[in-house]
Amino acid sequence: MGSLTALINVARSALIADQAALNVTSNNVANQNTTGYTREVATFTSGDYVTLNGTQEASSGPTVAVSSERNLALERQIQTLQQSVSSSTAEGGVLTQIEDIFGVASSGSSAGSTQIGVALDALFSSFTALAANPSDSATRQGVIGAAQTLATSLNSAANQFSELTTSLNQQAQSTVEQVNALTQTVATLNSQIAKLSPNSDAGTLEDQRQTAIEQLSQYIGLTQTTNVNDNTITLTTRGGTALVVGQQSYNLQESNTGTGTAQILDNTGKNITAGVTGGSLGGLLAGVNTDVPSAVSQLNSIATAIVNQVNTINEGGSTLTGAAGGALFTITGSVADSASGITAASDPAIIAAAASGAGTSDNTNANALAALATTTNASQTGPIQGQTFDGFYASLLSQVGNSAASLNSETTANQTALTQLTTQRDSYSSVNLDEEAANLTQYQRSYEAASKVFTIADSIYASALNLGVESSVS
Amino acid sequence: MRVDPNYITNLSGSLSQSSYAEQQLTNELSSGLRIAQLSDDPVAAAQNALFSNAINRLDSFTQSSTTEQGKLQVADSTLGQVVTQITSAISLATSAGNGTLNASNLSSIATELGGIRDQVLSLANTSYQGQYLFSGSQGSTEPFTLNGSTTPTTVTYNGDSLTQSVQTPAGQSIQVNVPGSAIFTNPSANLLGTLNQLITDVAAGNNTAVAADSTNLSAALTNVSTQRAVLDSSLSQLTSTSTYATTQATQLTAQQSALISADPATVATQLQTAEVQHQALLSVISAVGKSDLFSYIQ
Repeated sequence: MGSLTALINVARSALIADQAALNVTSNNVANQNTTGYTREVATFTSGDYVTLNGTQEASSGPTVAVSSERNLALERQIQTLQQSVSSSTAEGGVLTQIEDIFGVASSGSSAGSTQIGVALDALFSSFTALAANPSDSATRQGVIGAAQTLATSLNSAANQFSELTTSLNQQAQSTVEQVNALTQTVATLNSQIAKLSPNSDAGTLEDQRQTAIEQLSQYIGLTQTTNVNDNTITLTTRGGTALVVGQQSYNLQESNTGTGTAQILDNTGKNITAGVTGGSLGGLLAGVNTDVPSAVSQLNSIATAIVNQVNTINEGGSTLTGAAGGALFTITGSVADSASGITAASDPAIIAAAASGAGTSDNTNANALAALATTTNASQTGPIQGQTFDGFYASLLSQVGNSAASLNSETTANQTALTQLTTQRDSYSSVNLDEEAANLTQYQRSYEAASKVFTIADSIYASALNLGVESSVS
Repeated sequence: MRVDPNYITNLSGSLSQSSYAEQQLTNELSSGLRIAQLSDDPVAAAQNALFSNAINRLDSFTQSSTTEQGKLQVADSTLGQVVTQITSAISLATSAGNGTLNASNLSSIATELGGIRDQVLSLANTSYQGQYLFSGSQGSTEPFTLNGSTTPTTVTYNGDSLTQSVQTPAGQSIQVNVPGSAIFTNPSANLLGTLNQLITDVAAGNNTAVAADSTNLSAALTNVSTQRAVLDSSLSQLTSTSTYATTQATQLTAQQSALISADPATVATQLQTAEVQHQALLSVISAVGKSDLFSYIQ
């Protein structure tokens, strides 16, 4: 008699277990498109047994344990790769904008030239023309025109760089705000997980935390450690500054140094810029603190050398009136920002084509000016020293292009690895509708079968109670 | 083995990549350049800048050398006329010095010689594009002025003795003028001084002095021819350097074009391939993912 009751008990437990499994399946189907959702599986465990009269009989039905199919090692690999991809993508974006400042265009006279390159060549050409016709007013006006074009091109490039710097600082600022919001989210989730599930996988809470960390990985490079005592995750920057410790998050701040470079400060105001790498913030910082200043300083070096060399020669010669030549270029403001401050004279009378003391048709000084096209700037300080203007400019172009190209290929390689890892993770953790459909059918059948067991047990009960007589209890 | 259920989403990423490839190729076709950005080929972009610079230098030399050639040609033909004038002066001096002419004939020869002297003076003051050719560096100063108040008449040189040159792209200097003092008032063969002396001597009927002047004139003729040869040599050097520069610029332009121009045939083929791939991806995406097991469970 005891085993017949057990039969009903077992059937009842099976019904409950199947319902729980059906619940898991429907939850999986419902969350198929939820970002960061990790599919759950129902694991059946058989019930207890009792030994009656020397035979083992089930005393209760199966139970169902629900667990998330999560591979934390894979998640971390993805997060680390995501930090590299975001970093190189962000820095690549900066380099692309630098490239755009030195945009290659096809012009009538020359295939594939850049604005500053053309302006430099035009200036030297105008000096050559001046040497052929030193007193001709149209030719002299041509020199002024070429000088003004070069000055304007340098100004325009410098302005674009300064706008780029401003916009990069703003981007860094808003990225820091996103980072702060996400670290708060992670801290909140840490506290919930510590309360609810300190010893095991926290299911959807863990999903949300992993999603937050993955988003955070797009913005900043992280080092993470799991605290085994309460299942919280500690996040620090790659340089070791705490972002989330247990249930507490620490905000970062972005500050513009005033000279265009960006600084990241921790919550106590300490400068931790060097330790912030990875993520789009790391890429932006590399762009605004390294790539842009490097290109700008080379541009300034060209501008300063042009001003020094041209003015020295021009001032050493004689104008049409026999007076000493004037400054063809002037730097307004700091010499360090010569590209943005360079202006050209507007009066052709200050051009000194003749050697000092020589007459109006002398072209000695004009020849010296034209020879600047091939001079090696040995007397100049700064990066241009020992190189010709065009050689230095060409190396600047190749440097900008090379950094962008190498970063692009790094991004592509990392992106491929990230895609592979993501595929691997998704194949392990994502909801597969075919599988869910199969499970659904299986659990449904199982539920039907358990119900059948129940029905049969019930009818056996009836037979037992009526002692074989069919009428009274059915 | 489990498969990634989101593979269709990943396919759409590939779709945007193939669109991007098509866009790049279309850009290459429309701009005619293989390089739209420096990072497409940094080495080629840098070399291209150096090519542009070299071509530009050659072109500007070719242009300025055209101006210089014009100036040299004018100077050369001017000196040619000076030679003709000196030859006439020598024959006039010879006839004046043979002792058979009377005073009135000598006077008319002196007048004729005066005309030649004025002619030579005006040739020596030739200007080209507003600049005097024979005043050294003082292009805006008339090089020679005549002072008729003395006997014999004197000529003053107002220019200087500086020479100008142009630089070839290879760095060679070519002299492009000869100062008037070296041609017309050279101390060892003073053309204008001799002509003035000759006029005075012919007018005075001094046969011995006329014969000496005639010798001096021959020396001046030799000097003018020598100086003319300097200009001629510069002219021929400029012409040949300029021709060479033009050829070199053409070659460099061809090389530059090979370096960074897009080859339309290649790009068109690549575009075709990219388009086929794009279409294939679209078909794949529309074909798969329409069904899963749920479609079959009733």
